[in-house]
Amino acid sequence: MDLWRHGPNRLNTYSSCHSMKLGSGALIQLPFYENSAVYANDITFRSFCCERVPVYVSTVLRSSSPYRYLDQVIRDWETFIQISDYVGGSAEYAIYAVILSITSNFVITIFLTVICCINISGRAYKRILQLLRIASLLASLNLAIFITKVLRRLERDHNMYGIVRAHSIMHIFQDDMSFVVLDFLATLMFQFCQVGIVIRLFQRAQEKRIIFFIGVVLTVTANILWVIPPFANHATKHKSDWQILRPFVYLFRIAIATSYASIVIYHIWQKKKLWFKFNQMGLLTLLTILVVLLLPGFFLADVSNLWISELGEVFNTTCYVTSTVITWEWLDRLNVLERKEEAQSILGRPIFEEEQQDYRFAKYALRVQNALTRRESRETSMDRNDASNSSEICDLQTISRYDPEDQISEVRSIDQMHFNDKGSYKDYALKKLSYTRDKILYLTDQIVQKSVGHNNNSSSSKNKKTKQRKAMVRKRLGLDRPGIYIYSTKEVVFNSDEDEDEDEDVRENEDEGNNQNSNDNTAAITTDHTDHFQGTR
Amino acid sequence: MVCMIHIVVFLLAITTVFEIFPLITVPVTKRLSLSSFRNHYYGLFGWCVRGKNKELMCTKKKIGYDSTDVDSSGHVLTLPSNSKVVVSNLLIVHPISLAFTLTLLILAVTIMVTPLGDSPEMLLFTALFSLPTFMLCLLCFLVDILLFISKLDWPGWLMLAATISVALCCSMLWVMRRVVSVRKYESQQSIAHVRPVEQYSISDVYLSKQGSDSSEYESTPTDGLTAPEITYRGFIE
Repeated sequence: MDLWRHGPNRLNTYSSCHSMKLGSGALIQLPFYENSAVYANDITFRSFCCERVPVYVSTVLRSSSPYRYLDQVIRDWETFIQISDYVGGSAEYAIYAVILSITSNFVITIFLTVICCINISGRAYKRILQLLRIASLLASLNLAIFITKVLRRLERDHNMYGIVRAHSIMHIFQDDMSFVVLDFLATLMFQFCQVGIVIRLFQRAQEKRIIFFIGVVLTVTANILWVIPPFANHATKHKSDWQILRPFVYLFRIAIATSYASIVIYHIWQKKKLWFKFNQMGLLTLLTILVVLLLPGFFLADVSNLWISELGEVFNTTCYVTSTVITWEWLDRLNVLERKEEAQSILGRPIFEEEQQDYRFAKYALRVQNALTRRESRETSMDRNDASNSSEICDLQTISRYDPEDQISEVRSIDQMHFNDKGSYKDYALKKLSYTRDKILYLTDQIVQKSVGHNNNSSSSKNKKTKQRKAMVRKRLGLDRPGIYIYSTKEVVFNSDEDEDEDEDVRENEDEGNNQNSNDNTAAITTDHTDHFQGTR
Repeated sequence: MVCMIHIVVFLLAITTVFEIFPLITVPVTKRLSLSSFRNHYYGLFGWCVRGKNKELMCTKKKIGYDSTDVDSSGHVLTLPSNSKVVVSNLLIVHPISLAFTLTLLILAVTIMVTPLGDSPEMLLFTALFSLPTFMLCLLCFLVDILLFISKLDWPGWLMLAATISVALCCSMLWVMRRVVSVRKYESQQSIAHVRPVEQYSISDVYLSKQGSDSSEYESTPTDGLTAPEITYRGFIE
């Protein structure tokens, strides 16, 4: 932080940090020669100092001891510990308080990492949960390395010089590149996880997409700008050029954290009916509100020159861990409550108007129909064996790309020939643009669905080939897009239907026999026959 | 809906006024300041010091303070928060934020007085534009806090009110986007209800396309691509 802030008040000058003339006539015992001493004239003495302020000398000299510190050294130390805003000086900045805060942050981070790895299980949000676990482990590892370095440095100072310097701890934050890099990576991952959490808060597909785009852009921008000053300090000698960037990015991060806190608290307020419907839910909600406000709170504490101002980096990591992991846990429990309510209600999950707009059901149906028609026509014209492989790919393309409103694809019917049918450049550009937009949206949906979307795949099959086949069928039918759910249905059997059922059983057995002999594609499709699906986007 | 856009315009107008106050602080005017500290008065375009004859002596008007500026008593400029003077260049976010808020206000007024208010795309654009506006407004307040901490004067604290106001506008714009989207859907549905509702099933469409050759469809169940049982409502003639 001292890149953009002046150090604490340095109006006090400590004479013990400069050479003091002690006069003449002292006998100095030689270290390696017993019973021998040197008579010294014009003696000058300077006490242990760091950055022109006294340091804590850990050698204990009791009053009964024949030796004592110089009066000036004692006076300077007494003055120094009266200053309230300097590391190593006053009680709140003393080395014990600093070590206590660092180790407590370490313990909190480890504790939350263990919770994240063991207790939180979200099959529906697998990717983001994996990212959260990696980020937590990285943060824990970073703090473990940091504490090890701190303790080793303190031990070395104590053994070699008999002093304890809190300043050396502060230098690790900026000078140790491994700490900077690991901290950067962990923070980046936590910020992506926070984007995932915000996506989880919203249910509409379009809003999820917007949050994903904006969140990723903000996170990447903030981190690229954040990483420039530390590396620039190592790479160039023009530190002053980067002085403006560091505080700006610092504030930018705080602004993002405040926005995150606002969104989460707004969502908590919306769900106030569920606060006390579950054991410990009220406490967890309160804790969530507190932890998402930690980062903005620490910013205020930081600029107010409270005792954490120099230790911001350690608190920063802990704030990110807590505000992500605890919010995740709160959301998990909230989801359980909401699922229970949805299961008890008649309508189930809410369906939004955007899922019904633009006749998506009809378009979906037309896609399937178009694919059927093309497949049919191709099969009549091509060899059956060759077609079984190529049609798989073609069907995927036709289903995913076919747009019923697309005039070009509509005009180009399968029974017509077109020669030199070049459209205008405008049409071509528009087509390319819309194709690019569709591709980007498809990719976004894939990322959103696979990382934070609901997991629709209820199959527990471990067979890789079967999974691939199912994935292909799902993609072909458009079931790999978010918001499409497969509901298995239970048939109600009446007594009068029993006879018909028996007939159907016989027919199904015959069908199964046929399916075993058919190609891979057929086998994959028949697995979905047992499910009715409700296609919504 | 109408009420909501009026509230948004009203709040944005107030926010714009709030954001104008920091721009007219010292040395532009002599009465307003972002912060006052030890007889120093800090503004957006410079700072002033009150001399012994109670007269304000100000620096030249420019964004950010100069560390070489000295007051009449010869003291070098110091900021209340002990930040380095170069950080005051961040005050540039104030005019940028004002420009964004003004643009958002114009967009909101456009939505209010023109039929564009019924367009979900326009509302989506406005709602998206409100996000950087909110971020900039928040940044303005954070910069003020960073430079002047609790020594802020009321024009500085107005930025907090402006941030809350923009946050409210932002939420309302997103709510409006949802409302307009629902309204559009409902209007489409009402048109559909006026006309006779036609339902098509995939198999019917398929069979009609195949003509009388329905036996072929029935006889090829091994292809696996049995048409899903979906019905839909539309305007296919």
